[in-house]
Amino acid sequence: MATAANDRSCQLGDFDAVVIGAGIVGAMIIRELSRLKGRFAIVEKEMFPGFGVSKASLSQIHLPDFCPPGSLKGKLCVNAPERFKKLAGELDVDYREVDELWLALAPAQVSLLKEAQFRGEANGAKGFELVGPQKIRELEPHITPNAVAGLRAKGLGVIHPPQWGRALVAHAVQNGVQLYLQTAVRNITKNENGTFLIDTSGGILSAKYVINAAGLYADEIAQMAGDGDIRLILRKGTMLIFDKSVSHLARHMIFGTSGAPHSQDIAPTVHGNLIVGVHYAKTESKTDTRVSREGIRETLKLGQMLIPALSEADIITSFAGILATNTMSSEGDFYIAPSEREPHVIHIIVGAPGLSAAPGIADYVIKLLGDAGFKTTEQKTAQLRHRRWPRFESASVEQREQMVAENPKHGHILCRCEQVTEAEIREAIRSGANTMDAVKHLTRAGMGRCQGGFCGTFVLEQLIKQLGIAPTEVTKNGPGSYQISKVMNS
Amino acid sequence: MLTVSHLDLAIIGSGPAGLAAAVKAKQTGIKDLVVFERDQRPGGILPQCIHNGFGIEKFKEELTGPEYANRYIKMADTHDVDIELNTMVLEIEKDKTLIAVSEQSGLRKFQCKSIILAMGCRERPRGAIGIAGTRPAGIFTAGQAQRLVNIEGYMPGENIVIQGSGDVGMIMARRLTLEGAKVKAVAEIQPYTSGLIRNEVQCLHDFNIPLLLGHTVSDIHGDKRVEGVTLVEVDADWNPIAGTAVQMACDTLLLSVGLVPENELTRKAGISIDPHTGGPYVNELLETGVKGIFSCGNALHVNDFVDDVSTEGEIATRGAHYRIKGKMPGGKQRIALKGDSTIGQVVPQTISGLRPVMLSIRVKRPMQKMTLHVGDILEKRFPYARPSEMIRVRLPGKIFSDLKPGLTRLDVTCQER
Amino acid sequence: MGHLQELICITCPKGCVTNVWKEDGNIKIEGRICKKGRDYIKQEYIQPRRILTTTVVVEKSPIKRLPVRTREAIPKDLLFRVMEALSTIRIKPPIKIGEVILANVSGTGVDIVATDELI
Repeated sequence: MATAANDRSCQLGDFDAVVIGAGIVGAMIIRELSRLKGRFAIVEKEMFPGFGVSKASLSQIHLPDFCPPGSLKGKLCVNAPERFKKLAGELDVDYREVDELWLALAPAQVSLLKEAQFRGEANGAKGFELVGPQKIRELEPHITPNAVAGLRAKGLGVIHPPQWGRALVAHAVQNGVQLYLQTAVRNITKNENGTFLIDTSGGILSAKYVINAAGLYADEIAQMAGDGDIRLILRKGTMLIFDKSVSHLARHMIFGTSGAPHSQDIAPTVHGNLIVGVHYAKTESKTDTRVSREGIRETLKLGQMLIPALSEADIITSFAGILATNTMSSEGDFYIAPSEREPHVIHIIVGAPGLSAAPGIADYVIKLLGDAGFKTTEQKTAQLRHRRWPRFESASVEQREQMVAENPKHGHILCRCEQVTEAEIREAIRSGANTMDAVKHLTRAGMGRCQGGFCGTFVLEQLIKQLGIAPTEVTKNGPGSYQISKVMNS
Repeated sequence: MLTVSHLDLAIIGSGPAGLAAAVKAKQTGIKDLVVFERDQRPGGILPQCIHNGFGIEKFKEELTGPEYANRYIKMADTHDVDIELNTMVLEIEKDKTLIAVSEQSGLRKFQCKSIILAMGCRERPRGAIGIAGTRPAGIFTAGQAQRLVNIEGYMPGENIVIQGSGDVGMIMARRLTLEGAKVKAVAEIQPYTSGLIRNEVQCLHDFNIPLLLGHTVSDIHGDKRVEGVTLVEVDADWNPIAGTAVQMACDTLLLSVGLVPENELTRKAGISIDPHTGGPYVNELLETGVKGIFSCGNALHVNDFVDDVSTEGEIATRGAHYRIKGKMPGGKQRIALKGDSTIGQVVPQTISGLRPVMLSIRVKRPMQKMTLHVGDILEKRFPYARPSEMIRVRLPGKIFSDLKPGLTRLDVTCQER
Repeated sequence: MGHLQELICITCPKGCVTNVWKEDGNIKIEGRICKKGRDYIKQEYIQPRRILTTTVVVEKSPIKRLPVRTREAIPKDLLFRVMEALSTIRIKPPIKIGEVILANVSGTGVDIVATDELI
């Protein structure tokens, strides 16, 4: 890596450590870092934390029963559900507990269940139970008649990553962390003092330590740091969301192995829909999240093998996410290590289950930082001053009365499918949501069965009013994605 | 604890169904009645339907949507109907309690003697029809575009492709063209349009907009905003035919691919929904499976004509009237109307056999020279039948005297002569 | 003989298809057609006319657009000219249904009237 004289461009600040990437992993890391003494920053190229790979995922918190024993990912996933549950309380965000039911659809697959149990226990998890077909049907009345055995485990979970990303980063910011959104890293050089100069689209940050949590772009960041041999293998996975009217079809996180090499997974989401995934296709592109008819069809088939009553007619939306594995580790394991050339740069190259492992990864990275010479002295953590994201839809009658009394705009429902109020949408915009998608992911307006057909115009109007922009300036998710081409006859 | 107010009748929705029901209710002496409307103005979907063609049956005139709505709004006004605007009904229960919320009045609970569900319908979105490709900005349902153009005064785009030749899609093709956009094509997956011929002529032929029958948008392109679509020809099973893919550049895709009755509240109340209609099972007074809860208009089943929607509102009120008085006339006999594979839907799904009833039927596929059978008590001939044109047949009261006592089922079927 | 045109009647949902031409100064219609349809087809052959429905800009009101229509059908080839004429109209409440918004639009002899009220 070349050393370079100080650039003339805008100096954003000098930091002890900079985290590149505010996905769930980066967000967890920066929150942990923010409890330590030091100056920290986090840089994210999307408009919002958790808007990259993190949000285009199944969003599930797993036990390490599908991680090879002794693997790094297995180690980092231990107690994942408990950690998330505790964090949910600290951050005041949503966490929904769901039990696991891993199915064998033929006698030959029963050994696979036993292997899963073995892996889980070897990685330190507990509470696995093998159950027979009768018990399976008791637990899940709509399960396929082909289920011959099941591996049951309690207390896994599901989340909505943008909500967590926002809360984690907000907590870090309250502790003095500098947040740079819509800021892409272009180059990393080192000056004569050994300080890294991170050249971004918004200016230059200098840092003693660089934490590469850039997800799909971690290989490119690694390359900037001189580690060109870190490469990613990409797959595009299709997922389907079903109408809430069929949410009764599955209560557990149901896995199958008949879909291999695809993931076979049906689960409730944190919002109460069912998500089905994942049919994988090889891809070369990090940005191509186009869904194909084949992807939809094949993913539906994977789901129907587990719950036959799933129907294409009940799909409300489909989307695709890119999953990466790296060339550094075997068996798809995580690669989390300081760079061999630059020991103050720590690379985090993960894949599945990156979400589940995020708290463990954060601890591990802090430890690696300590090993690399950074002083990890604790300091006081600020309370999360942000009020819990108000959700009218999930509030009780009494809570709703209180919400309306405090803010009458909670009485004006703008999204009928998800019962999102004008007050919630205004708050989202006030706290930084300035696109249709950002409002959608923070409030759920537009995620219901009509997919924004009704509320879209209202969200548009709110963005115009609250941001004081022209209708043609409102975007779906950033520059270029305008909603309105012109105001007629103006 | 919310204080509970009492109502004889709650009507959810102030569109053509709800308003007609409310006016009829007042005309027949129902006093404690409230219409709950979530929008800032009454009329339901009609204010954005600025084209004409409404009211030929009810008013013997060709009115625009707003004009039709206005007729009922004026009548509602004359009869002192209480319409609560900007008020969303959050839930209803089987015991006919209802919780509503508004900015003005907060959360309120009502105990009703009867409820009429008149919530209308919504449109199928992109995700529900599984178009492949990216999810850029610039994809709208036809109704959403209609609201943007006619209520807000916003153009959704300038170079437009429309999927679906239903009436709303064709109407929007014309509207957008008149406002200066270029509508490059209307693609329809069936080999025939699902809308009225008059719209094909006045909306597509008039403006030389190509109508591609047996075609569908298979892919959407564009990262941030729509840049184009792929159109393919399909076979009778709607599968793409290899080698027919054509790329069409555009910045907007409008979807007019189906309407679905809006029954979120109905489902949450545990009322059974007929999968053929997407609306509740009802009897000839449009009462659902829960005594005292009625359904009408597009919330019950998607209608073709607004006049029929208003008529259904009036029928539902008749039913509600009986319930408010405390007695529903008639015996216990319930005759189920079952359509076979030639029939798409039949409403109502049960009748008592004690009074004349108007059946609304849709066939499953287009037919020439069709004969319709209802059990062996009615046979009627039609020169043709299409799924997009609802058939209404009246079973007069005297037909039922021929029925065997203890009959519980009438099969509805049709065939080509 | 005047040029032959295939015209679909739109006065009722049947949508009868006809062939129309002019012969010895008379309009000939071939195909199934009723009396009402005959009038429409004749007019359509001589000079297609359409009712235009559109919106005009409203000021000083929370309602942004007022729906309007031509009171009667106007020549089809004038539709865009009328749209142009209406694009600069600005109105404010109160407005009654049927109120004339623009009289004799584009010299057609037909008025543009409001189809909704504004309070």
